[in-house]
Amino acid sequence: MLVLTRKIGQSLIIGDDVEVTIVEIRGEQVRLSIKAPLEIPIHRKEVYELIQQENQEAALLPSEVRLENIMELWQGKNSQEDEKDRK
Amino acid sequence: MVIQTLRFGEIDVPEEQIIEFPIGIPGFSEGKKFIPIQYREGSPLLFLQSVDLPELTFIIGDPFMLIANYTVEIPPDDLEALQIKSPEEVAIYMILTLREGGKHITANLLAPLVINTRTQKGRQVILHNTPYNSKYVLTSQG
Repeated sequence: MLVLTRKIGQSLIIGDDVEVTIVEIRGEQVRLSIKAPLEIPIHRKEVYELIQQENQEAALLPSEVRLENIMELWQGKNSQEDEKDRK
Repeated sequence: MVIQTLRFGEIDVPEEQIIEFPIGIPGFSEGKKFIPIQYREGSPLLFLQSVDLPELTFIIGDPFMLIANYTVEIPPDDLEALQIKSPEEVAIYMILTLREGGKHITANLLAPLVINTRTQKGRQVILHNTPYNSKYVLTSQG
């Protein structure tokens, strides 16, 4: 792993086309600006890891799952809410 | 094109219906091509079966049909990356998670699947400004 020191306004180039610039330092927070090609998505790491985990959980489908039953569950919930609205 | 799947066995999929996610789906970067499988015409729920990974199947839903007053704003970079030029060529799906063996179902509204229906290319877009989270309760029993 490489560790570098940079000042405000200075940048890093990663590969040919990813540029990271230090925009602002305020207390414990650092603001970065990142220029990268559109095919390289940029995310906050904790959010990306959350989505990875959500996808892995979503892929754990029971072997016997019927979309018809899910539709019935959904319709059941929504008709309950309609009744609440009427009361 | 004939593919092997764990859930549906061997199936013949029309190649023009295959949706490609060029950068993969987070957590499954090796699976880039998927085929939507309907159980009934026009149903808001679909299976999304991986073409590359026989064991990988998601259930996806149309949020506009399943969630009252659903709105979404896709970041300009994602629209550009997908070469989306008008709303007519966009399809949006949310990935569903069956929890506790299907007793309740949540929808990931933080990261919807955005598909360009003209090019059949998509990506899972992680939204920055959205009132929804990744565990929107779609159904629950009791």
